[in-house]
Amino acid sequence: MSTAEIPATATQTTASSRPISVLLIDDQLIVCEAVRRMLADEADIQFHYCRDPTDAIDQANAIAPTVILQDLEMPELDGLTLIKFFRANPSTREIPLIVLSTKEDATVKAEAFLIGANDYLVKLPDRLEMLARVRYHSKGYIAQLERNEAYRKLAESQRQLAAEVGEAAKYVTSLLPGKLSQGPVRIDWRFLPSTQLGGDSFGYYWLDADHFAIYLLDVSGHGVGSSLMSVSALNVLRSQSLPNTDFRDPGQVLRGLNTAFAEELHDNKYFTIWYGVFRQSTRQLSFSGGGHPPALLFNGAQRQKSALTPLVSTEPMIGIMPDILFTSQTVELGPAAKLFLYSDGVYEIKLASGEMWQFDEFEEFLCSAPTDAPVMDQLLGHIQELQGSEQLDDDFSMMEIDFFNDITHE
Amino acid sequence: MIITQRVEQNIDIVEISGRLLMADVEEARNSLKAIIQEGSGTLVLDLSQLSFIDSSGCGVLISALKSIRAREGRIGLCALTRNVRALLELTRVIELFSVFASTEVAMAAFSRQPQ
Repeated sequence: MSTAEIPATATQTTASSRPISVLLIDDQLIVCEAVRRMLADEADIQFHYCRDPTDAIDQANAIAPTVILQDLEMPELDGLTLIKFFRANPSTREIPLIVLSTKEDATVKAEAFLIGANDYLVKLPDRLEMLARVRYHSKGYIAQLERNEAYRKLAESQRQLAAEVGEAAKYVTSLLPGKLSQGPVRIDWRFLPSTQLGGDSFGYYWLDADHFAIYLLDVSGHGVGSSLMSVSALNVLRSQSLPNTDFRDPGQVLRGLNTAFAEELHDNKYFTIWYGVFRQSTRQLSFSGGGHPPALLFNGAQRQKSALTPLVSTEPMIGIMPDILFTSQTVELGPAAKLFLYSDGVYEIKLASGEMWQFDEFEEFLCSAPTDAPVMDQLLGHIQELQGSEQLDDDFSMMEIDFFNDITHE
Repeated sequence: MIITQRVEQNIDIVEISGRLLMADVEEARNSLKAIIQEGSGTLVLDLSQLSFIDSSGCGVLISALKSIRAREGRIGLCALTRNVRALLELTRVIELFSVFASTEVAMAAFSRQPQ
C-alpha cells in the first residue's frame, strides 16, 4: 500500500465552503506525481493518492474526497470492477468519479459511464482541463452535500417542532375535564388537535349546587403560542381568578376576560369564546359570546330543525377593544334539551374540490344525521370525507351537552 | 386572493378580491399593514369582489382595524357580499367597523368628515 496526502499550498477553507479533495487511484507513481504537480499550486485543492486498488475503498471512506480520479488498468483489480465497488459502497456512491485511462475507446467509455463513472479523461490531459473538470465535479458534489445537510437540519428541526407541538397538544388535552355520563347535565366531547395546534380549549364545572358553567374558546392563529394563550385563559376560568366578577354572570366573565387579556393579547392575537351558565332550579341558560360561532340549542333533546335555536354571540372577540360591554342573554330550556358547543374547526372545511363547506350545511348535517351513532363522530367522518383527508387543518373541538329534568345529582 | 390599491382624494382604496382564507392570511395582513403605515390614515376596503372569507380571513380585517387605530386613522368596509356579511355578523365583527354600501358612499362619508 502506498498512500499519501500532499497538502496543497496555503489551503484555506471557510465555514461555508468545503475544500476540494481529490483522491487518485493509480498504480503508477509517475502518474500520481504528474497529477500532484498539476494541482499543487491550487490553494483550494487537497490531493491524495492511492496506488493499491484493493485499498481504494478504505482510503476513500477515510478521506471522503469530493472527486475520485481512477485508472482503468491496474494489477490485482480491474478498473471497471473498482467503479462498481465505489458505486456499491454507501459512503462513495454519490462521489463523482472521473476515469483516467490510456484508452480512447468508445466502447470502454460507454461501459464506464454505464456502471457509474461521471467523466472520462484520456491521460494525461492538459492541466487546465484537469483543473476545470476536478472543480466542476467537486463543486456539484459539495453543493449536493450542503443541500443534503440543510435538508437533514430542516427535517430535524421539523421533527423537534412536531414533538413540541405534540407535547403541547397532550398538555391541553390533559387539562380538559372528564366526560359526564350521569346527573342533570351530561357531556360528551371530542377534541382532536390539528398538527399545528389550533388554540382551542374548553371546560365545565358546577359553580355551586345550582349553577353549571360551560365554556369553549379558540385563540386566533396556530401553534404553541396560540395554545399557551388558550391554556392561560382556561386557567383563569377554572380558578375563577377574575377580579370583581360573578362567574354566574356570563357578561361579567367576558368583560373580565377582555380586561385581563387586553395586555397579554398583542399583535394579531385575540380569542373567541362562548360562555354559558345553566341554572338547574329555573332551567334557564344564560350565555354570552365573544365573536364565537353560535352554540346550537335543540329544545326537546331531538336534533330536529324545528327545535333548533342558535345562541348567537352577543359581542365580538376578546382582546380587540378594551371597552366592549359584554352582555348576557337568557333562554328557557325545556324538560329535555341538547346543546352543541364547538369551534370553527368543525365547519370551516375546505372541500376536495377547493370550495368551502358552508355553516348552513353544518347546521343541516347536525339536524339530519342518523341517531344510531354519536353525531360528533359522524360529523368528524363526514368532514374528513369532504376534504378528502383525515388530517384536519384546525382543531376539532365539540361538546354535546344534554340537560335533563327531574334527575337529582347521582 | 388578489389585493389592488389606489389612492383617490387622499383616501387609500384597497380591493380584496377572490377568497380570503388561511393560506392568504400572511400576505393579506402584511400588504394591509404596509398600506396603512405608509398611507393617508383613511382606508376604504372594497370587498365587492370578495366571494368568501373564513375566520382567519376575519382576523386580517381585525389586524387592519388594530393597525389603523394605532395611528388614529379610519377604516370602512364596502359592498359586503352575502357570505362575507354572514360571517362578520355571526362573529359580531361587523359591529367594530363602519360599513358602507359602496366605495363611493364610503368616500363621500369620509370626505365630509376630514380627519
